[in-house]
Amino acid sequence: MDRNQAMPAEVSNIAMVFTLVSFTMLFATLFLTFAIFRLTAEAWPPFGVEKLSLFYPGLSTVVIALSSLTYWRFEKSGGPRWFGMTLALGLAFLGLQLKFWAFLKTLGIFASTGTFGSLIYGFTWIHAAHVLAALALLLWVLPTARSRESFEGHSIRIRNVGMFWHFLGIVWFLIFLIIFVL
Amino acid sequence: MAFYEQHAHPKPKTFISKYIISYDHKVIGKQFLWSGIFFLFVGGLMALMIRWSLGNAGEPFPIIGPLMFPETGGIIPPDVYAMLFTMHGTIMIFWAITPILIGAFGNFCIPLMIGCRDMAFPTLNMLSFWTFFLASIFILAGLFTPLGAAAGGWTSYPTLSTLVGSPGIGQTLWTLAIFITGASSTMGAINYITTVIVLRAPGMGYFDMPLTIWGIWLTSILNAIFLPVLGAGCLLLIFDRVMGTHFFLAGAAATTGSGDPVLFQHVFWIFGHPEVYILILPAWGIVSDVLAFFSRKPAFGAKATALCMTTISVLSILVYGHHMFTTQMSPLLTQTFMTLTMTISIPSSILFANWLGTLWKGSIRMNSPMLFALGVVFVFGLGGLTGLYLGTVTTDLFLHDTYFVVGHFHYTMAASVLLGGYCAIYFWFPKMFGKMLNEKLAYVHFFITFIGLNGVFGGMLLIGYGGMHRRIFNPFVYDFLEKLMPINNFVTVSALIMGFGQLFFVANFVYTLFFDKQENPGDNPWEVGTLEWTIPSPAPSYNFREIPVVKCGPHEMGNPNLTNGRDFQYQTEELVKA
Repeated sequence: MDRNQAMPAEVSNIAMVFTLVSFTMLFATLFLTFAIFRLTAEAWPPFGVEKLSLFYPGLSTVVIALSSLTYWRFEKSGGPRWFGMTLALGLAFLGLQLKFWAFLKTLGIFASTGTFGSLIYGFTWIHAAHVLAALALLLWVLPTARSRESFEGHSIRIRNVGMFWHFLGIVWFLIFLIIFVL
Repeated sequence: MAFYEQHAHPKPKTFISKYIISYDHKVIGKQFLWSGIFFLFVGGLMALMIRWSLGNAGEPFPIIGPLMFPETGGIIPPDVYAMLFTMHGTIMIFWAITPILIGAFGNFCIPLMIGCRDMAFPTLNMLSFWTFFLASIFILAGLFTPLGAAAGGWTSYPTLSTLVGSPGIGQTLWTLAIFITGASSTMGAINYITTVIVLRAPGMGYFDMPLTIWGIWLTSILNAIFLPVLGAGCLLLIFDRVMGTHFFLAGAAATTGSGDPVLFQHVFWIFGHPEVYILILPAWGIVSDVLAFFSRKPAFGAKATALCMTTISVLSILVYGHHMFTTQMSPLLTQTFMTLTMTISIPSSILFANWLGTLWKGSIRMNSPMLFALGVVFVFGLGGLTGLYLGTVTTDLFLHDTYFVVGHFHYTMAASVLLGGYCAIYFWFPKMFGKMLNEKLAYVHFFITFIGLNGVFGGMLLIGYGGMHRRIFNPFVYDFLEKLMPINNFVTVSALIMGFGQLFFVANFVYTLFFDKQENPGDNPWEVGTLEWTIPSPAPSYNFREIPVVKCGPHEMGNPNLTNGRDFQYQTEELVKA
């Protein structure tokens, strides 16, 4: 039974927009948390903590931006090449997060290192969890990369997963800008 | 917008596809209704236990007390008391009101009242219920953990809710359960919003929707926007408890650098104030409709009512600070929040006046749904008025954290929503199950409940004004509270009366549903013109054989030009003009 028969594309699009509004509020609350700690702190980073190197966060930003770009190409033209690259870049992003956490530990910054550690880890954990979920959604899109008919038959699915994927890219860019650069 | 005709579901054949993993919005609505009624019972029992230890301090709780607390001989111990008021609040809000008003009647009413065959996303709908079910397991599991359930109040402020205040796993399970049930409600909300935007029957503009749908729709919008805020707060609290972060830890508890316990209060109330309206808006919508249906005339200022509900939804975002006047906010902020809070009285008053305008010169039929709707008008009036004292900084400084607050929010959230929920059950029961509930028992149920709840919540306002704090176990060890003992006894007796009254409902519900062999009441027992009454009772699995075309508003009644022998017309009929 195909329950979605006859459903126009706008319908799931409207729902996806509201879904992203919900996720936006989740991350907005985290940024509020950051803003409060940041604005009430006497010094930032707090005393005894070095300013973090931008190497891992910066590299992550490049990787997730590229993955958004490749997915955008996939949405345009389909085919296994662009899709495979998106998947690989997504996995690379998660790998970089793991490296980043290991790097933080070598600096002696743990989740329990005051609000600084809490914020860095809290933000990256929650974002990485969403990227993991998005990767699972990409597996759901995987079959559409096989053939042209399948690609054209699932345009709604491809677009909605894409919206979520790009959304996570934007969120990561904000995290990079607000938490790491500023 | 982009209306399209959905295909009818094939008729489910097995027991599981019919009752368990069902995609049918009516079945999912009933699943929510049953779970909601179950949790209403659990939460109600907890309320009686709380009242027992306040009214009869030091006496064993009758019958089940000795079984539950053998080591004290049946007396409720202080730590259990804290768990009881925490779990009572949590269960009533997230596991009783939410599933009954939003889960059950949202699901049941939206497709039937806007004229479509199912929700826009049936699978998401089914997942929403089972996610809720998972959360129910988590919240109940907390009761059976070694250190007991969460005990930091339903607001779970740190440091009561961090490892410092509650080291047990119960609090972690509580936080996780709230997060999961929030995800479930968000899924439902996105489904409802989309369905209302897209699937309104041809011809039905937004202002042709019944006000019930307006209420549920606005609730869903608030849910989709603000539940994730609480979700984020819950995640940070879980990190604090499990991963050792320091978001909400301060002082000696935070060994390196200091978090901020008050931050959680901000996050909680940014969600929490809209939540108050999330709970009450469906009840407002239902009452606005039912008052018109049983006054046999169009809802007075229906458009204004809908717009007032919208205004209130918007304003509800801007007033959360009035829950935090005593957290050393700057006076500039408290004054701002106070002014914004007072602004809400304007649309609320218009809404209220519209209800009275609907009743004015109506030919009122005193059926059970009408009785409950009138009950809501009364208790909501009281609840709204007592809110003014709490929204004003000067009086709130005295009344904050007293039983006055408890009385106020029970009048608005508990009494109004409970009566509104019963109103909906009595009203839509024939469409849900194809039978009518007994009217005489409904009358008895209403009057006992109404007298009981006014005794309980009115008494709470009094003892709160007398200065008794909420959440205190056995306050009568303090001299100044000793004199409140008789009123506390009165409140407890009222609570027992109210609890007793619910037995009439249970008897009525169970007897009618399973044992009564009455005739089918017909398509339209209440003689109402909205779309769900144009189809057989109980509603068939495909809802509408032909998708209806809407030609007039939802409450076209008492039109003097009607010549068809009825005093109402269906929404599918052209508006009769002179």
